[in-house]
Amino acid sequence: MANNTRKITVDDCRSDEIIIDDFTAIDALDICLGSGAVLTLKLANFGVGKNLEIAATLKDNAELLAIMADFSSGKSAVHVRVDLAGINARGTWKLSSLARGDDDKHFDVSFNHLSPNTSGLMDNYGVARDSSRLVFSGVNEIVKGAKNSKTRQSAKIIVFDEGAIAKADPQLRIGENKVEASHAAIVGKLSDEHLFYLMSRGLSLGEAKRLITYGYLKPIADYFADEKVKSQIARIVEERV
Amino acid sequence: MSVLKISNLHVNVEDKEILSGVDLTLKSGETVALLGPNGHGKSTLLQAIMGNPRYKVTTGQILLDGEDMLKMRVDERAKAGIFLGMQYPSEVAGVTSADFLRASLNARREKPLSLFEFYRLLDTTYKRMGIPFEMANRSLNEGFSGGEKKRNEILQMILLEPRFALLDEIDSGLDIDAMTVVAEAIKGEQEKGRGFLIVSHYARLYNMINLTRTIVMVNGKIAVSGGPEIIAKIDAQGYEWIKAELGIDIEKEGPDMSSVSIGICATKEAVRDGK
Repeated sequence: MANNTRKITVDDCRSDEIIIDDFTAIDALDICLGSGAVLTLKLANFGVGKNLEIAATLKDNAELLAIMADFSSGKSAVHVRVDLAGINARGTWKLSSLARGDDDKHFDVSFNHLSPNTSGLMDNYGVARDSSRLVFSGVNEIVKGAKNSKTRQSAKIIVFDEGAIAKADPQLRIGENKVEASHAAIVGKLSDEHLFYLMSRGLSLGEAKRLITYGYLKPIADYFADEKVKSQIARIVEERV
Repeated sequence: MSVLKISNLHVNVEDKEILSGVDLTLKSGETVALLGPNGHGKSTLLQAIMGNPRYKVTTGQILLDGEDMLKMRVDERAKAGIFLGMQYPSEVAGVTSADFLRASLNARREKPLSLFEFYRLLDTTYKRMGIPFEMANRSLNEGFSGGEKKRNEILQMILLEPRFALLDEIDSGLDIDAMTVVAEAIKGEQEKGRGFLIVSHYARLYNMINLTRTIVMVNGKIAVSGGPEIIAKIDAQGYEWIKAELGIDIEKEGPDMSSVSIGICATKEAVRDGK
């Protein structure tokens, strides 16, 4: 693993909540959740984008809720691999990312279902503006024997400007029959009719775009009880859109 | 006293001419009923006045108190006092009605409304329209029923206090109670001297409000102008009499010309024909 790896361990039956909003000294997170352990991980980057490796291993009945609010600028690649190793392990990943200017961002998020009754739910939301590039990828795999597992991949990106490039191509690899798997990838242009509707009430084009961007990325803010993060998201949308 | 003056207006949608020379003058305090078969340009006229970029004005003029509206952006037209109550209001995920309304109200004010003033105004208006106040915190029009969307349009009209309100089939999808609420709201705004241009297929709404005159659009032009007797006639007979009495051929035959309650708009037709 990379140089500055932060190790996060939650022992059997314990629970923890960790918030990271400064990534300058972190290149990787190595997460290990014991049986029945619960971790809520909240990541918020408002600074310079950087590469990040996140690896998590969940034992029996362990639960990971990971939230990422990415409002960083620049070039970055974030790899997330969650091994649902134990029976009944549950992982949830939620990401909102704003790419603007000439940002170049790649998020690769994968769940490996290695045991029965595991659940991996992933929702990635993105806005690509100006001449930025935003890519969501990842492979959710359910191995043979991981019966009754449930996996979901959802990736949605709104492209605001002609010059922006967005790709969403999450994949499923299913080796077991008795499972529940769903998959949705949408890359769409900002709707002209929506803009017209908002502008017909007196909002300028800029205000209309801001309102739509904020509405789209705001749900991630609800996971942060911290008012500071909420107002930072509002401010960044205000500044950067 | 304001005047909205439309002269020789020609409008294309996807390179197909929908309006072929419309002349219409609307003054403050007037309410004009606009009828006509589907696909003949009623919605197109309203959208063109508001400035929807899909509707291209090829010739003609739209003046608001002498000012050239065609040079104005959509938001400038709104701030100049034009309101369009849409037939199909957009569902905008993530944007709450409250945030949207506050931004709309503040867009036309020097000093933004205080939160207290805003919520008091909102509360009063929601009550007046019979809409539960919780809906202010839901995404704009998302998951609203047809009737809720239409009431939400009228709510916006009341809040934004336009000089001229253009209402496009605002009564479709409303039950009789909601229709009464909408009609009362329109009457209330009529008393404030606003001008209205109201498109509907039904006599019911027109009978509930005060009309200055009635016009009928056929083949992208205003073919008939008169009083409420025209509405009664259309309600009873459809549009075929126009051909017999005035010698105007109704060109683009809709799916059922004798029926007055159909729902394909000109845009969809133009898109279909264009492809």
